[in-house]
Order: sequence, then structure tokens, then C-alpha cells
Amino acid sequence: MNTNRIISQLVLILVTVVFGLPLYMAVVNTFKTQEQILADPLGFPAPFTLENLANALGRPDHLIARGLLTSTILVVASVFFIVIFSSAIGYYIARHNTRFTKGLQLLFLAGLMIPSQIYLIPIVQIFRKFHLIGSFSSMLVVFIGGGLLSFAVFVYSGFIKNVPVEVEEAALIDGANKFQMFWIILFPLLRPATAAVVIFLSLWIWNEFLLPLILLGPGKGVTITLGVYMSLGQLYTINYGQMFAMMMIASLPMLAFFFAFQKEFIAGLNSGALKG
Amino acid sequence: MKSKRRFQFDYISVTMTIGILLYLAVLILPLLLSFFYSFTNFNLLNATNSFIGARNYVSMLNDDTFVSTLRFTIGTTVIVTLLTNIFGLVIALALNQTGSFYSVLRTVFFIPQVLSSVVIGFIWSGMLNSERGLVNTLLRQVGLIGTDGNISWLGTPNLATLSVIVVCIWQMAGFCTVVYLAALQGVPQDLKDAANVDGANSWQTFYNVTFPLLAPGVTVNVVILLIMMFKLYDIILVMTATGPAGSTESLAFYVTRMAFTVNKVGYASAMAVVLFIIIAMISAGLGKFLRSREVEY
Repeated sequence: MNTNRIISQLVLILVTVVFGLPLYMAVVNTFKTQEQILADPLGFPAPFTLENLANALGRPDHLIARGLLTSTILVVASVFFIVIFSSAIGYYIARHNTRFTKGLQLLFLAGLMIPSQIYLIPIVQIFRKFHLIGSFSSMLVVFIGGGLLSFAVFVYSGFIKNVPVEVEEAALIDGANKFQMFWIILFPLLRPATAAVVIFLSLWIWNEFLLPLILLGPGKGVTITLGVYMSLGQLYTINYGQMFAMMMIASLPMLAFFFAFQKEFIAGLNSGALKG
Repeated sequence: MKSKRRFQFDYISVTMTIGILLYLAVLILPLLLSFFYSFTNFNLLNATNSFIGARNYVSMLNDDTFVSTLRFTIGTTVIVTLLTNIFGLVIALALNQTGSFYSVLRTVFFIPQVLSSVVIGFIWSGMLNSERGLVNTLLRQVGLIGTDGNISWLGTPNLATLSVIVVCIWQMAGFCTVVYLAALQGVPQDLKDAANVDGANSWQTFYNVTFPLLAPGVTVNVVILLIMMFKLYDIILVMTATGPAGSTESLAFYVTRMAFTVNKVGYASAMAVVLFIIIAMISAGLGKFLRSREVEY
């Protein structure tokens, strides 16, 4: 029994090492020169260089630096508006049980399973007609009103159903208006739902590729994923150090976010949030 | 609450209305437009745009590329969904322990979930590069291929398909693992103890007690993976760009290419509608079937 356990532990460690190898390689090679990488792809970075990171951030075309900035603004703005809209819609669905709310739920269900192409095709036609293609703000509107709003609506409506309605009634009796009741009394109670919404939306928006690829188009400002894709597409011979450095820069904010909120992350995954 | 009331002008109703209108404008209206386009020969290059009935849907059946992309999509989807679930379940069973050792391992498996598909695609393109990639370097070092041997992972149709499958499993394994871990923690210890007392061995306990109780986890993992895989686009673009010779083109990729590169908007819309119907049927039908298998205790 004991040897069995040791063997299974060893197998587990081996599987984890193999699984983690691409991650390890991406990390160590960020800090090595091209020669070091080619000579010894798995070796530890000694001597250690920050040149790759500096070169990626300081590219003359600013694809990476501008991408970071654009994606940060995009994430913050989209999440802000989605939280405001989805919490109100979710609240309404949770507190009313009418044909209208049933219809609403069905309407938002579509957003969960729709492939982005199906709404991007007409949107691109409309945007082209009104010269909105390549504009950051029109892309932002698509991010706010798209399938991500559906996800957030379901998280909030599911969560608010379990919050006792007495809390609100007491606040309204005390003379609060709906706005005060919602933001001062109710919203603080929705922390786990808000955490799930903010975490997953930030992650998905940061990593989204197809929407900015189609709606921004090349040359008109880039998000970070688009920046990585465009800079790596230009390389004729693979400069591995550069490549890994860019990917490191693109991933670091979300990795930091993940490590900071690991518990909320896992809880959100399992709260039924994704069970739609 | 039930009585019919006039529209009340308060914070909730105003905010909700703006949100719903936005959603209608960005998602529902375009969805309906796509249905409409799918019955036209809308083509930006030829400047045609007239109603052609169901002809787009008929042409799909005779379109070899559509058939091969559909076959590729269904094949990879089934294989990835199946293998990722098995892998995730096995890893979850192995990691279902407390202690910092296990939580470090859990983190390793989950990290790909935090990375963008573009980054994942590039990491693996680097790994699989036939001359300088780590995979071939390691294979040479352990002597499985000659010192000047190059396996063209992304350059031969079957190996490229295999590579895409492996990368998708790698990307989604952490998700399955986390969902199964949560499901495992919901299995009451006394049920397992009771099975042990009744003389069940550990396999019997797993098969008869634990596994049926994991059904909600299976539902989530299968449905989410199927939906993910039917939308497969980014990884293909980065790793193979549908090559070699279109052998790794997914349906979502074909739709995107037709719509935005070839500009056959009507035809692309028809295929997007088919993709949407497939995904909707999977989520609704399979979800319902899997949920009916979930047991109460």
C-alpha cells in the first residue's frame, strides 16, 4: 500500500512536470538571450537578462506598450458598465416572476451560446456603413452589450434570488429611494457575485482576440492580444527571447490577478456561475 | 408585484432599459440580421445582395470545405471533450487532498486557463517548431529520433490535427480539474465509508458511489468544452493558420474567413447560423440529458 502510494505520487509529479514544462520554458526563456535559449532551452537564466522585456515594451511601433494601455482601459470601462447594467437587470429578474422576466431570461440565454461570428458579421457591415470600424468606443459598446452581459446577468439574478427581500423593504420604508437602496444596502451584499463577474469578465476581455481583430483592424490601435499577434506575425526568423517576453507581458497582469484572487476565482467557477 | 403597473421611472427600470436596449442592438438585432443575410447572396466584392431562398444552405452540402471543416470540428470536439474530461477527473482524484504540495500542483494545472489562446498558441508553436522546438530537441536527446531528425508537428495533416488536440486539452484541463475537485468535495465521506463497510474495494466505491455523484460536474464540463471547441478559432490561427492544406481548418475559422476575408457575407451568415444551431442544440439537449442523469442523495 505504501509503495503504491509513493508510485502514484511520483506519477503525479511527473505528469505535473510535463504539463508545466511549456509554462516553465516560457518563463525562463524570457530572461535569456537568443543564443542561450538555442543552446539550452531548459536551462536556468544565468546570466540573467531583462533585455527581452525592455525590447518588447520599447518597440518602435509601440504595439506592446500601447496594447497594454488599450486593454487596461477596455477592461476597466467594459467591466464597469457591465456591472451596472447586469446588476440592475439581474435584480429585476430575481425580484419579479412574470412573462416579461421569463422572456428576458430566454433572451439573455441566447447570449451565452452565440458564436461571436454570427453577430460580428452584421455589426461589421453596419460599422462600415457608418465609419465606426476601427474605433475604440464602438468596440467598447460591442463588448458591453454582447454575450458577456448575458453571463453577468445570470450571475447576478441567480445570486440576488437568495438575498432576502426584507433587507430592501426595510430600506425603502426608511425612506431610501431605489438608487440608494440598491447601491448602499443591496450591492454590498452581492460581493461574491460581483467578484465572480469582475474576475471572469476581466480575464475574458483581456484575453479576447476575435472581437478586436475584426473591429479594430490592423493599424488602428491594438489590444494586448492583438499586439502580440501582430508583432509575432512580423518576425521572419523566430526570436524566441522576444516572443516569450511579449507573452510574459501579455499574461502577467492576469496571472497577478489570478494569484491575488485565487480563492474567489475557484469559488466563482463552482458557484454555478458557469452553469447557465 | 403581480399587478400590471405603468412603467416606473426609477433607478432600476431606467438602468435596466438602457442595458436591454444595448443588448438588443449589439446582439439580438445582429443575430436576426444574420438569419436574414443567410437567405441572400450578399457579397461585398460582387456587390450582389438579393434574396436567394435557402440556396446558401443547400450549397453547404456541396461545399467540400464546409464538409471537411465540419468534420474536423466535430472530430476534435469529441476527442478533446472526452480526453480532457478523463484527464481532468484523474488529476482531480489525485489532487483531492489538502496541503500546500497539492495546492501548488493544482495551480500549475489551472494556469493555462488564465492565459489567452493567442499566447498558448505561440508557446506551443515554439515548442513544436521542427528544427528548434523543445519537443523535437528532447526527442533527439533521449534518442527517439535521430540527431538530425525533424518531426514536422505542424507541417503534416495528421500531426497538426494531433497537435491542435493536445494544445486544446492542455488549455482546458485545469478547468475540468477544478470543477471535478469541487464535485469531489461534495461527495459525503459517510457514503464512501458505508461502501467500504459493505466490502467494496476502492474501484467499486469510486464507480458506484463517487462517480454518480460527480454527474453535475460532468454536465458542466462536457457542455462548456463542447461550446468552447465549436468556437475554436484563435489557436488554429496562431498555430497552423488552417494548414497544412486546410487540414486543420475549423468551422468557426471558415465562417470568419468567408465573412471577413472572402467577403461572402450571405454564405458566411448561413454557416454561422448552422454553427449557432449546433451549439444551441448541444447546450439545451445534451445539458438536459446530462442533468437528467444527475442523482439526488
